[in-house]
Amino acid sequence: MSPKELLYVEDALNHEKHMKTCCTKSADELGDPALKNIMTDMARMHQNIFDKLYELL
Amino acid sequence: MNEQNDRMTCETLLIETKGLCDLMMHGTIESATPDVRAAFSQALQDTLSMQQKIYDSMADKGWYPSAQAQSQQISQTKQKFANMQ
Repeated sequence: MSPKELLYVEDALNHEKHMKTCCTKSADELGDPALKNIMTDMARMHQNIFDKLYELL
Repeated sequence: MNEQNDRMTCETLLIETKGLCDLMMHGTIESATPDVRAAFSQALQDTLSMQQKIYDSMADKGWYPSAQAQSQQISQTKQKFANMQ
């Protein structure tokens, strides 16, 4: 892994962590049940992407 | 009021997800190491999928109106590049 790739991985991990938090918070706040489900799924997907990127280290 | 809050939440997440698509795309094209490139490429596909889910949900609710290009404009563009075929 090159130094530039490592910077991208670190940046992506930070964003995935942030997005998981946003989606979890949004799922709690949204009034529409369908949107709540989408946000819950998306929080899980962001965790999965985080895990796959973290495995590169 | 509740619907307005839902709309604002979705708009914020759509903007953030679009930004994440951009990051994953650059991670992909700037990575030469095969497993790093593959991980970013898959992350890009997954993030595009999420962006579409949010957009579709908003469009279904009429929160994201989109216009169609006029057929005359499409024909003009098609004609402009016709000799490239």
